[in-house]
Amino acid sequence: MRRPFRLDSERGLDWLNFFVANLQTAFGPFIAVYLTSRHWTQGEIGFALTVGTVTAMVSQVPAGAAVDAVANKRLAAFAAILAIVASCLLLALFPQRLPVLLAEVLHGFASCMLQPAIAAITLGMVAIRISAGAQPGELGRRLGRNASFGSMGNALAAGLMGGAGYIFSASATFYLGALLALPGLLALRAIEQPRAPLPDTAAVADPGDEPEEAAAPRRGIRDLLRDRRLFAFAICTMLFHLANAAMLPLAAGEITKEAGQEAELIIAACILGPQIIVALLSPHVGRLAETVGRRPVMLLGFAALPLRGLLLATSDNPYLTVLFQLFDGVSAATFGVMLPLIAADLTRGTGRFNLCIGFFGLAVGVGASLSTTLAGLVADRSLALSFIMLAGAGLLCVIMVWLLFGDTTPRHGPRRWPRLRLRRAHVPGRERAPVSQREET
Amino acid sequence: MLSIRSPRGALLIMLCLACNAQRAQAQAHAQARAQAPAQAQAPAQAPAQAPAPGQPALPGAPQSGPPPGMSPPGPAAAQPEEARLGQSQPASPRGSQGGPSPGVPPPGTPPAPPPAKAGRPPARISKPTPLAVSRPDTKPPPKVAPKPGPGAKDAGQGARLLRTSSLSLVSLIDRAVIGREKREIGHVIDVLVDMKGEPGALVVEVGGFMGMGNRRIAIAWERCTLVARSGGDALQVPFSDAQIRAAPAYSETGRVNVVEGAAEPAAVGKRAASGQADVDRVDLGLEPVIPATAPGAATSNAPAPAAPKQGAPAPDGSPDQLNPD
Repeated sequence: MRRPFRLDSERGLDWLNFFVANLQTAFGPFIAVYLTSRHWTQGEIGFALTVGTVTAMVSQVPAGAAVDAVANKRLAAFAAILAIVASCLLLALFPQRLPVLLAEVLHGFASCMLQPAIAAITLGMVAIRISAGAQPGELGRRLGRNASFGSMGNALAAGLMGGAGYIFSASATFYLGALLALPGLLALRAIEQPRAPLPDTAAVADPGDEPEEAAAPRRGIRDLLRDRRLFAFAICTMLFHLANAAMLPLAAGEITKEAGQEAELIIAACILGPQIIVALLSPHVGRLAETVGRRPVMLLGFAALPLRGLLLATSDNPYLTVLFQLFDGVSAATFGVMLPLIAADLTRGTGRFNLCIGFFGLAVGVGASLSTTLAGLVADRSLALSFIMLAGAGLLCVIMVWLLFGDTTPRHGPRRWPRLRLRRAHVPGRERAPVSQREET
Repeated sequence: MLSIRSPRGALLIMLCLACNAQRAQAQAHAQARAQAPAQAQAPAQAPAQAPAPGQPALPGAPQSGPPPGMSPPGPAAAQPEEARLGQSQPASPRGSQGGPSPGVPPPGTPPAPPPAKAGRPPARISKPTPLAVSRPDTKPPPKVAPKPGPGAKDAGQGARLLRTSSLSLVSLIDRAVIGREKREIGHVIDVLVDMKGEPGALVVEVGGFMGMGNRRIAIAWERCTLVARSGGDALQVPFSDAQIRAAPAYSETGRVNVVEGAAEPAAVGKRAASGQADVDRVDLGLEPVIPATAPGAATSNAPAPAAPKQGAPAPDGSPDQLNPD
């Protein structure tokens, strides 16, 4: 492995991903359990959760744009982490209506900022490394590493927080979540700030690019939205989560029904197992995406989704379910690396990277909401049927990748975007070398 | 996973004791707000009440339906406490519930008028089930009591508005539920009432990890008894793990599948008596009505043998178990 350009930055980013991942964990379905223990009625809980969901959906794009607008991405990440810590504490300390709603809103917006901010920090770091002589393909490698550390942290946090909730109290979970996030702030400080010559780190998006890209004029938001590939991937993203989001809850519900006393442990295994797979697989996905190409990796990785749906439909054995859930790790690793990577591809040199991520985030939210609703409807009739339906959505997702992506992006790399290449012609030709290099691979 | 859940205040009465501070603040709001739902609810209930058996005897019931905030004249004397409970209840249940007390209607009216709470009080009296005695409805009073309590009883000035009593009551929401194996199987998350306002079932959330994989099942009100436990009192239900697992899921829409127990005769009798048209009773008998029992037992090493054991619906028989006193 190459020596990192800045050891501190590299490690800092690792640990940032590691510690920040748990912030997402705390705010899942667990809030419903927690608020029930605080004697909230179901109607109130539903309302609070809906507020959180709606906030997260609505603020995806604006939060992305906000991160784009902020020159110092570290500051954005810092603020987002603090906001999420604050919302954890609010939940733990004041489980009353107003504070909880505030926490939901705070968390909804902050988490929308955090993901783009971390991706932007990653881009900035990759840009520095490339300018220092790192090979192209660095971005894929680094994003794979992000996802890997993120899922390790997520697995650890889920385990710890689940344990804390079980042993102590439900509110202990949120205290622990806040506590675990603090090292993330330290890690953030360790990451080197891009120097002045890189004013817009988001613009220096890709390994194939040179820092000078940053000087390129911004493309307007409209230009971005007119990009067909953006919508192609957004549709795939939506379908992916349409298929994915409800699968684990459905499987977990089935386990509760089928398994005995050990059901909770089996469900924990269903949650943690895929995270381990993601941790192991993500670096390879990142590397393959840069060498083999985005599209084949996506086709292969996303194919695990319909496969998993079908397998879950065939068996209700709890232990087999744990096994089948491992396929979740395959598709999740692929998706986790691909989303920022493709956003970077699409927005290279435009300064709209985070906006693009926000747009995809919106697609994720829409898909996930639809997924739970639809699956819930069908599951009342037959669980197997709803798994098959989800598998169908997953299959559609793969087909969309095949069709739409095949349509617009025959090959990965700069070659597929003549428009950008035209502009790039104005740029000093240093970049040519990496580009041709990549085309050969 | 988050969908907008409509607060089905009309049918679900949420009983909460714990969060006092908040409630106290919100009391005024709740009352004001509660009135609206109550009015909407009243007409709907009216038809159901009329045909309901056991109701006719009580004068308060019919009246309560139509005129929301009105005060039934007579019944107060017969069941003063109940009426009062109904009245005070609105304040405590957090906003989502529909049974509110019309605050304090006519200032001059004595004890009697406590608003007609859609006939709930009478219904309660008519059918005292084990839990019914301690009915959650009674919880609210303690809350209310502290404030007006002293003044009302001592000074007599407050007595015109409220009559209070201090009871030893506990909250239902989030109360642990233990099965026949004496192991905790879940927590109460909701209480369901029938058209007469009587509690029909408890919604219990079982299983799950970090909120993932929870199942909700509705257990008949009569099956639940309050028992002392080291970690705080818990509700005891006479079902084994295997039976709980086999129970049908509770869904917020449509009819409710309520787990009643194994004793067919008893269940049938109760059903007939209560005249509930809205509930599908599920009896978990030896011959599993729900096929899932067998597979569940077969696929896992779970305590399958537990199923046959049942047949002891006895524990729930004792009427006053819930009564802390």
